[in-house]
Amino acid sequence: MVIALVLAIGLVDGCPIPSNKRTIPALLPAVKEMRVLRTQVLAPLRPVRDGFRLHQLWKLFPTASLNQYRMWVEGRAGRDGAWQILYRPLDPEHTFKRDEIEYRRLRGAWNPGRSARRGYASFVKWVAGEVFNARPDFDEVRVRMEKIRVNPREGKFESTGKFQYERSRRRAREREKPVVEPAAPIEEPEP
Amino acid sequence: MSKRRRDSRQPPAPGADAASKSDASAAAGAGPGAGEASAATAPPPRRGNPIGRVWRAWVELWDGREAPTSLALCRILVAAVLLADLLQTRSYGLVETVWGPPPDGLGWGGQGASAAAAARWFGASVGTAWLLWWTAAIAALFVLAGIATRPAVLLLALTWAQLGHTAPDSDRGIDFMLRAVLLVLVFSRCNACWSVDAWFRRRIRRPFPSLVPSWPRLLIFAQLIWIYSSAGQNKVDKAWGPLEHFSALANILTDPHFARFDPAWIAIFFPVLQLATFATIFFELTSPVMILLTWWHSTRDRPGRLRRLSNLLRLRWVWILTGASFHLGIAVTMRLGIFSWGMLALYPVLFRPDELARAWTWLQAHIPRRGLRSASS
Repeated sequence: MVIALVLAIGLVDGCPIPSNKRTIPALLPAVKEMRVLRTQVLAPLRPVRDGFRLHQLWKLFPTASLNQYRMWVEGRAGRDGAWQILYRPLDPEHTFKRDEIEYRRLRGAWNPGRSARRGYASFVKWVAGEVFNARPDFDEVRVRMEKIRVNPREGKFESTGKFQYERSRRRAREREKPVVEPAAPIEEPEP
Repeated sequence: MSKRRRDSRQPPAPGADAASKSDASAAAGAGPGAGEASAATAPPPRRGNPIGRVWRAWVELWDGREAPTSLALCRILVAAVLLADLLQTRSYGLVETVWGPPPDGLGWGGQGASAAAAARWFGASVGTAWLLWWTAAIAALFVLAGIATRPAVLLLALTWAQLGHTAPDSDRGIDFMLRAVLLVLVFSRCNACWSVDAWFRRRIRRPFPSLVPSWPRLLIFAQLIWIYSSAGQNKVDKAWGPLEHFSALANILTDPHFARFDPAWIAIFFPVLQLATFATIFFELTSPVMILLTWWHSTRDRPGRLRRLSNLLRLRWVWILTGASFHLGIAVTMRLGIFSWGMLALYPVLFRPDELARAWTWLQAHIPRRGLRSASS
C-alpha cells in the first residue's frame, strides 16, 4: 500500500501539465485547475519535498534552440586599455580557468536560461578576483554573453554581433596614504 | 504486505551465513521483481475476484526476496559518483566559491528569509560551506564502504539537500535524482554485502540474511524508467521532432556552453545525429516498455508470441545497451559533469542478482586469474 502511494505521489508530482503558453485557450482553465489540484494534493508532503529537495518532473534539454549564448571573459589594463579575451568556451587560445568555469556547479551560475542566473553577479565577482590574482597588470574585468546562432549543418556557430548580460568589475585599489615625515617626538624634560 | 514471501532464484549474497544459503537454494519460487519472476514454474490457476487477484499479484511483486548484490553495487556506484563530485569541487578550489555566501560566494540560497537550514543554524559563512562539504564527503565515504550505512545514507541525502538549498544554481537534475535514490537506499539492505557492516555482522556471528527485500531495487528501477519517460514528455522543442528534422542533438552539440569538441565534426555526422535524436526521443517515450521486456524475459518459459519474439531479439538487452550508450555518448561529447555517471550508477538495478552473479562467473572464466585476483583483493 505504501509503495502504491509513493508511486502515485510521484506520478502526480511528475505529471507533465503544460505551461500556459503551450496550452490552447479552450483548455487553459482545466490546465490551471489541474495545477492547483496538484499543489493541494502534494501540500501535506511539502516538508519532505522541500527538506530533501525532491521532484519528479525531469527535464533534460527540453529545448534545443538555435539561438544560444557564448560567454566572454575579458580583462584590460587601465581605463582606456584594449580588452583582451581571457576565456571563451571552445576557444583553445583563451582558456583562463577553463576547468573551473566549465565545472557543472559553476556553470549553473553563469549559463543563462530565460534570463541571467541569480548567482551571475557573484560569479563575475569570483572570476574577476581570479583574474586580478593571476594578472596584476589588469585593472578591469568584463563578463558578457555573445548572442550566437548555432548552425549544425555547417558545423559551426555564428555571432549575431550582439551581447547581453554585461557586467564588469574594477580592481579595488588601496588609497595611497600621503607621505608625511613623522614628527620628532617631543622629549619630555626629566623630572 | 503478504506473509507469503516469494524469493527469486538468487545465489546467496557473498558472505552470507550457511543457514541463509540453504534458504536461498531452497527458494526456487517465482520471484517477481518488476515482472522479474523466475520463469521455471508456471503460475497456478487463480480464482477469486479480479481486484483481489490484482492486489495479490501487486503485493507479491513488491514482497520478493533476492540477494543484495544489485542494490549493493548501486549503493557503491552512487556513493562513488557523489564523492568524486565533491572531490572535484575541492580540487578546483571551488568549495567556498560554490557554497560560500555572497558577495564572495555563489550560495545565495544561504541568505535571506528562506535561507537553508544549515545557514540558519551555523551561520551564512564559509565555515558552514566547509562543514557541509566535509559532512557530505565523510557520509559518502561511509556509504561507499558500507559503514553505518543507513544513517550515513540519510545524512548524505540531507547534506546533499542542504548543499542544494545553499547554492540552488549549482544543484542540477542529477542531484535531485541521486537524492531520491538515496532515500530509497535508506530503507534497503544495500549494506548486506560488500560492506563493512556485513563484515562486522559476520564477525559477531549475526550475519545479514542472504536474501533481502527486493522492493527497493524495483522502486529504483521504476524511478529510472520514470526519469526517462518524464524527460521524453518534457522535450517540447520542435527540434526533437520531425518539424525541425530531428536536429536537437546536433543543435546541442554545437552549443559551446555544453559541447566538448569543436562543432566542425557535426556537419559530417549530421544525419547520424538526426538518427540519434530520433532514437533518444523514441527511447525515452517508450521507456515504460522496459518493464514489459523485463517481465517477458523473466517469464520466458511461458507462452506468447510477443514474449518469444522479445526474448529472441533480446530486446531487454537492446534497451539496456541503448541507454548505456546514450550516457557514454553524452559523457564523451558533452561537459555535463557527473550526469552520465550518476545515471549509469543506477543501471545495476536493471539486473537481477543472479544475472550479476553469472556475469561475475563469466568474467572469472574469461579474464586472466591474476588480474581478477588483484581486483577482488
